[in-house]
Amino acid sequence: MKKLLICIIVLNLSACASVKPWQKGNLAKKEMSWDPDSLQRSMNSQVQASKEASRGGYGSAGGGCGCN
Amino acid sequence: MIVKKMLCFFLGFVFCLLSAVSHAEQIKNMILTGLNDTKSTTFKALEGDYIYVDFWASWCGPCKKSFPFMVELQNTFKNKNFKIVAISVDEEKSDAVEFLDDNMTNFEVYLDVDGVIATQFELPGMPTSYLIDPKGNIISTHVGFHKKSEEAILAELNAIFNK
Repeated sequence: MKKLLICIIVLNLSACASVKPWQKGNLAKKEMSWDPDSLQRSMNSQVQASKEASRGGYGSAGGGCGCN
Repeated sequence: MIVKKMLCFFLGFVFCLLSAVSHAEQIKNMILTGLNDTKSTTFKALEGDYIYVDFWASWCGPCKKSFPFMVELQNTFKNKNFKIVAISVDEEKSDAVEFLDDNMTNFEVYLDVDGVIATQFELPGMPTSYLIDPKGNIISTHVGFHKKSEEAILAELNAIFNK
């Protein structure tokens, strides 16, 4: 079982390929980002902050007053 | 025994030297394809001038910022033996053309859709620019583009042309 697990891990590792700086065109596409629509993202976080009475966790600290 | 070791070391050194020389020759003879396919050249053909080679892509933000600087650079040193060669590494030619429609150029632009030239140069980042002397030697490399790069490149060119 252990051997099989090691084999699977090794095979998975061999599938990793480094992307060269000039090959990052597809990664730079808008649809590849977590939130392609920045307006939608800010609206969603606004709604979440109001409904859940909590905000933050998006890279900067925030309170939980739910007053926005 | 010592003689054997020294011989091995010497042969290794010669091999490294020869491979470095052949790599440089390979780069010099690489064909640069122009935007309209018919216009092509090689680095060897460009020898005799100082060349500022810039690798860019339409999807790269700092590359876009570097274009007005390169236009200014070309204008500043237009009466010197200086040329700017911009090489697009976009996989789609249409992306490069679209980018160039929005960004003015006064220098030669070539395509490297397969990344062959980029691979030979082993670009460490995007954009990367090289300053090449008239003999074809790389005299400086700049990775990325920001205010400090502008100052450094200008200082290097001023030092060359205002000797």
